[in-house]
Amino acid sequence: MTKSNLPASISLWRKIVDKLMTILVVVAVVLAVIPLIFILGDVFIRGGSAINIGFLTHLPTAPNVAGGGIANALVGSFTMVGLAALISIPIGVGAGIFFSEWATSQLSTVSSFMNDVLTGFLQWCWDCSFSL
Amino acid sequence: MQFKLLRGDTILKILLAAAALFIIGLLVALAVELYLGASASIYKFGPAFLIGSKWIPSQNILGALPFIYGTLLTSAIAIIIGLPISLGVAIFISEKLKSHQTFGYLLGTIVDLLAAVPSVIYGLWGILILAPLLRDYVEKPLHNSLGFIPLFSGTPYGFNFFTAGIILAIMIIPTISAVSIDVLNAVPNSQREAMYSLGATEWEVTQKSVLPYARSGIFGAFILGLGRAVGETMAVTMVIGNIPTITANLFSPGYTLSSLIANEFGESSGLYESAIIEIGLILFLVALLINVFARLLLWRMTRGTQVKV
Repeated sequence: MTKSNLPASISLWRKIVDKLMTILVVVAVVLAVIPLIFILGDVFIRGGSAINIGFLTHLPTAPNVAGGGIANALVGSFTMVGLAALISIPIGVGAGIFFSEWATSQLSTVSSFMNDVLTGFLQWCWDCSFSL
Repeated sequence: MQFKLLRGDTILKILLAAAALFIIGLLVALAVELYLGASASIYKFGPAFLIGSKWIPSQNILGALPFIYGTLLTSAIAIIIGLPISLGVAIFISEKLKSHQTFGYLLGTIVDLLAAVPSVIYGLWGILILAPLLRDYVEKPLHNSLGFIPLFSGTPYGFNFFTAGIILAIMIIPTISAVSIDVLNAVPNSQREAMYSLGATEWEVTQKSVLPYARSGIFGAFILGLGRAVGETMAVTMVIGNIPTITANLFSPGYTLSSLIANEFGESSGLYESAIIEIGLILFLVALLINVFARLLLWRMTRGTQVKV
């Protein structure tokens, strides 16, 4: 699928449009990748220099006291993610198998639609409804 | 033996159906809980809540319009900027790099990486780097040269609808392009070959035979991105300025439904709390509407054919 496949008689306009779209597509890729490089670079260069074993294994100190770390936050994150996975994976995988094995059933249609609604949208609705 | 196997099957089906039912129960419970929590506010303000443009909790003057407006405006900016870029990325990776699969795979992975960055990091990056950059190099020049257009008339401080829209665009690009890449890759090669054999250029092949074939899948990707933009909270809260405003001026600080809940729910009580829960209910209904609308459109577009998005 290279340019040489094109017949020589092809009109100039179509060639220009073709080239132009190729350029636009490459521009899109560049625009999409710049923020990523920016974010990763910034996080790794500015954040990476602050990380050491002490930072990861110590508790935070009182305000304005030097030193300390994020051990509690790390343990907290892992505990929370572990608990969440323990509860949600059996239900999620089970429902997934049901959707694909009994795809034509009424229950599948309704439930997978509701699953779509739940996905991505409702971060803060959860917060609301659970703290009531 | 046969009997045992069958009984096992039944048990499995019941268990799996229970998991599927659980999802329905979850959604229904969520809706009921939100409605109950919001009932005080619904009873007090009625439909006027939706068109009220003032938000003064101390005087119990509460209206949701600025937040609905903020959510819609930032999502619109995100889609207008993010959708073409995502499509470009998808076309580049699946069409232009067809003969360089490793490079395409590598690039696809890099784009996927963006989707894995937690939203609070986008927010932090937005505050520290993107907002000042946009203010100095995009918003100020636009304001100075095109300030007579209402869109660009405000004084840019960096924390506004525009910055929030850009952050959202960056966040939905990986979502939309990852799905679009899969959809474009699934287009059979015979579609392309037929076009090439007629003497079409590469772009004509993409435009006239690949994109139309993949349109329902791309639409699904678009809805997924829109969903993410509407519901996104943390990154937007950190860069939008958090002042309830309704204005055509993109450089004015604003507020969104989800940022309001994130910022104010913790310290609210009574009618104020109920109003914030009603905001949550509105967000929930917007999500539901987008999904229902997308489903209906997909069914119309793919009448008769089986397309899984």
